[in-house]
Amino acid sequence: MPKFIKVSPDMTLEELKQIVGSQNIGAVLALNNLPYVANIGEKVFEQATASMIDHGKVSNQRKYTMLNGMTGDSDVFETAAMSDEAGWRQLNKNGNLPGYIKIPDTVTIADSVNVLGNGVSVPKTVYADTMKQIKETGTVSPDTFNYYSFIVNTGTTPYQSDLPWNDTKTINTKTFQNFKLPWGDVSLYSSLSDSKIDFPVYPETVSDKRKANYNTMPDLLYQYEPWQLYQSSGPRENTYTFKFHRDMWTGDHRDGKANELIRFCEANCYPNYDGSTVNTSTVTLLVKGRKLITGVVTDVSTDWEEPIGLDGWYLFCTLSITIVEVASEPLNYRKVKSLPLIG
Amino acid sequence: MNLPMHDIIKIQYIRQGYLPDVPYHMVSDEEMFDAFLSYDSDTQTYSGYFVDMYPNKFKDADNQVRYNSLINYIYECIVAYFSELKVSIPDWVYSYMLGVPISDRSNLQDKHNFLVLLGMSNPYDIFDDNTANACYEVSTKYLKRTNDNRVPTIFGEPHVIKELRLTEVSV
Repeated sequence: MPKFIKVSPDMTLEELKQIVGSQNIGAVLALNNLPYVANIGEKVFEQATASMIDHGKVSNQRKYTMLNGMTGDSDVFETAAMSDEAGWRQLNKNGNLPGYIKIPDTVTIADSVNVLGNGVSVPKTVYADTMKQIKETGTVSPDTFNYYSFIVNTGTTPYQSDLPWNDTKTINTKTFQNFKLPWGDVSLYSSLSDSKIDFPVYPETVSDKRKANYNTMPDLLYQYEPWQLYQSSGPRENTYTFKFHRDMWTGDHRDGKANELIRFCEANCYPNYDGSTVNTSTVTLLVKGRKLITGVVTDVSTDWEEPIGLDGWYLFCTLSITIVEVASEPLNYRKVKSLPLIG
Repeated sequence: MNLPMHDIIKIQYIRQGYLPDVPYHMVSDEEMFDAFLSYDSDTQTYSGYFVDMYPNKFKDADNQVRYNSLINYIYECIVAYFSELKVSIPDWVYSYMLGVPISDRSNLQDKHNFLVLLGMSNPYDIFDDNTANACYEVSTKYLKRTNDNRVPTIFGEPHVIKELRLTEVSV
């Protein structure tokens, strides 16, 4: 598979020679059908502009075929898949990625951020997803590849977007793709559905308390202090408050994921009626895979704040869940004394 | 006449892409000067190495006029070289052909050092209208002193650097 190097519009022939070597410049220019001129960057972009004018829109089938030939290099595959219409036209005409020139296999250059051709095959899931989108819509969403890709389909070519055939939509980057969200660290398990759901955030704070209830012995006279009779312990009742944004899941707040979390929590306030049987849910709040509290949900409240999203609803939510502990095994002095940090 | 200077210029232009990738001795002087500065009478514009290295990006009208004077003078020198008079090319024109005078397209370190010498150092080492004005003043002063009839320059030619250094030591 050939490698590609990025070319800026003001790149000179001397700069290109420094990258590929003076002895290889002839082969590089010949492969890309470029003349031996000083302002090589300008020529590359002139060629690209000409390819947009000469050729019509590239069909989805043609895109599919071209991508199939690039599966040997995942970075080339990704760059090509996320090209805009101008980029696809150039790819179709001379096989060059927009803003890049090909390097012959015989030329060895150092890998850098401006060099494509990593020799890593495209993962099967990414390939299948990409090809499906190409076939159906002709464009690929950036989150097909991974959340940490910095290649954004906001127009990989520097050409003017006022060209009549450039109908590329700008796909927004995910707002939270550069934030490390603790997915999988905090989750709520429900016994009624035997499923759990992940929170994108930790609770704001965790305040825990345990208590004991004593009665005083009545009608005793002349006691310096009342007699305390142990009644019971608990209940251990805690409220966990989570603050999150509806974009935290996929970057598109219309995905319904935040609502899924909220309704999962609220549903645990209601039982399942099965004929004459009434089944209630016991929930477990897990932190890093460890049980923090198991019990019943007695209160779920949501407070919404601005901004307003594209679907007309608020984006920022404060979700509070109150769980009253129902211990899975009898608690006594020795057991509580030996509990771990999370538990 | 086969001047060593022409060979050096041809080698440089071939390396940089201003001339085709052929052995330098196969390049004629006409091609060499054409690559340096050529004039298109249809569009009335200049092109070539000089225009790339010393572009006319000045906003000041005076500097625009000075630039046009300089480029026209250089072109006349080239025309005169190929005329029956066979006037030799002045050394300072050869310096432009080699890219020696400092401009906005020069090497950053050279540009910075020149701007510091000129007393016009700025955070981004930009060669702008003020720099061009200062160069013109220094150049005019030097050429008047040496009774040279050529047009003054708005770039960092060697004589501008020389005059600044002489001023530094108060000569």
